[in-house]
Amino acid sequence: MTDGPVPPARMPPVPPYGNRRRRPRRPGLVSNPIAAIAWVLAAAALLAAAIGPAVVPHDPLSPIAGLRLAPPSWAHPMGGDHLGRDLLSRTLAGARVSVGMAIAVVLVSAAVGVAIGLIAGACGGWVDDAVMRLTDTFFAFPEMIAALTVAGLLGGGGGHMLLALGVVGWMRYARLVRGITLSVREREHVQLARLNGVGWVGIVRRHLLPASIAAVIVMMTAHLSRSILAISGLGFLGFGVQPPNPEWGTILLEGRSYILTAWHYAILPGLPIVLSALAFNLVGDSLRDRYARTAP
Amino acid sequence: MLEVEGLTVAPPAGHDPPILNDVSLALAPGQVVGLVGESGSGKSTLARCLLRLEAPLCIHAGRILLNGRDLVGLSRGEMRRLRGRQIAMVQQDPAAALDPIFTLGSQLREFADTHARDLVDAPSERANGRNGQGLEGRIDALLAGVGIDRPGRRHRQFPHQWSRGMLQRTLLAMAAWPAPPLLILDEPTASLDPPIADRLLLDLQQTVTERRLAVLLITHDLAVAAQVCQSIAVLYRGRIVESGAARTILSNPSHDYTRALVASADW
Ligand SMILES: Nc1ncnc2c1ncn2[C@@H]1O[C@H](COP(=O)(O)OP(=O)(O)O)[C@@H](O)[C@H]1O
Ligand SMILES: [Mg+2]
Repeated sequence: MTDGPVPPARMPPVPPYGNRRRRPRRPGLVSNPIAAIAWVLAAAALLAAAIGPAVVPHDPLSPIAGLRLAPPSWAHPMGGDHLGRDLLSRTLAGARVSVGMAIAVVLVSAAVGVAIGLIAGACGGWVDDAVMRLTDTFFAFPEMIAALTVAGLLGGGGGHMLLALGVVGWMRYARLVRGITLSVREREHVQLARLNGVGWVGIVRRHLLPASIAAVIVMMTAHLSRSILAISGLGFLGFGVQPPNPEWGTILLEGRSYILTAWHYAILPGLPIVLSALAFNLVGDSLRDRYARTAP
Repeated sequence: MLEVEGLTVAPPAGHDPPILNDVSLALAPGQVVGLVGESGSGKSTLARCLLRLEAPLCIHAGRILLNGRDLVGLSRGEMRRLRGRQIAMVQQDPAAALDPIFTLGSQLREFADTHARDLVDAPSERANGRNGQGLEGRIDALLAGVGIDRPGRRHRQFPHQWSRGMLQRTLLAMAAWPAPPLLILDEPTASLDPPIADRLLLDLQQTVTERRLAVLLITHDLAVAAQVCQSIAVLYRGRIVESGAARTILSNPSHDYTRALVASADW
């Protein structure tokens, strides 16, 4: 160390305690065009999952005469597949599985992880130690390989896929929530609740869970993006939803053989996977910038 | 009312010197007792012990008698029912005492729900309250009682939008609301400007006379203790080195440490 002038420490701004009329402006949620596009795409993916199967222009399961491997046209914007089924209809219907299943994976993982994190953080002591060692053990298995193992042991299909991805999905939430809980439980406002005779259940409900929510929601959007990729990946490897039911990864698997003869079949069904994964990731970023700057 | 006898508190693995050593103290209803000592002398630790929130420290010896009942032997559930109702406490830092992510209105309502059956409106609050308007009206009356203008609008604000003085006066009124026989204030004026601190001490004196509470007023400031306390106990390195009537101690301190305190206090 030299005795030169010490540069001023960079500190986060401290909110003033004075009586202020307005809270400081936060950056807008859609402050840049890329974020705006991401929000639109993410909304479209959710909408497709919600109403896709109901609004398909053609039956996604039955072939149409003359549409076998037909290139995109006005009537069939994404062309036809190897059996002559309308690819746009199959992709729309597939959103129910690909996005819907990803949402289910995220909800289940978050519910389990948040509960475990709250228990570990609120109890502390040996409970915390035991729970966190368990979490570390689950972390030791790479997500995709663990999911493949579970799916391989139990066989393909939607329920097994949900189980497989749920088993490897909860640990990040547990770690995040435990960390927030451990720091918030030592704060004065939790002490005030204890001074008033509020029990741990009440403290979790009133203070610890609400303090974690923002960061958990940010993590859920990023996890949604990874889950869409994982579900498509499992489908592509043959562990997902079984044909003829449409699912983005499975459609891509079927189209793979025709990449040289019918480019649209191997390329176009991949776009919703890439775009929705990217969109949810960017949405997560913009949520984090606005609500949870401390979240990882 | 409250009698602390020979309280000794230390970290669990007991080789370290105790943080409180053989502390004894007594309080009667309507009495304000000052607990004076420099920072680190163990004042906040003593306050937490009285509520049995001393963990991770341990009470190694002594008794805490509240109306003849020893708190050291009570179960967790019994102790939890006492907190806020029999013994209330206002913490040191008013700016940190409320949850930053909820509005004051929602936290006041939560507090009122927690103690729903025990809330007693003070005469002064009843006077300026709009009676018969349910909980909202009573909360407004409570806030108006500590000089907060337009309480209805204030409900929607967050703690960081309030000044420390407003927060501290509100926290004091909240703590006194369920009419706890014993009220502990941990350095209530330490972070306030002198005029605001005086307002708070006036609030306190009014509360004590209206509700006949026993108050343990923790402070490092002899001037504050001189202003409101009938008797004073001086805590020095975990021991009560001197205690008695406030006037005696201030005019005729017997322990060296108290003498230094009196000499250095700016009146
Ligand atoms: N949990 C704890 N573990 C170990 N030491 C503690 C703990 N809590 C307080 N102390 C020690 O007890 C002493 C008294 O602290 P405190 O009661 O906060 O003092 P005061 O309120 O008078 O400033 C300090 O030296 C502090 O380091
Ligand atoms: Mg203190």
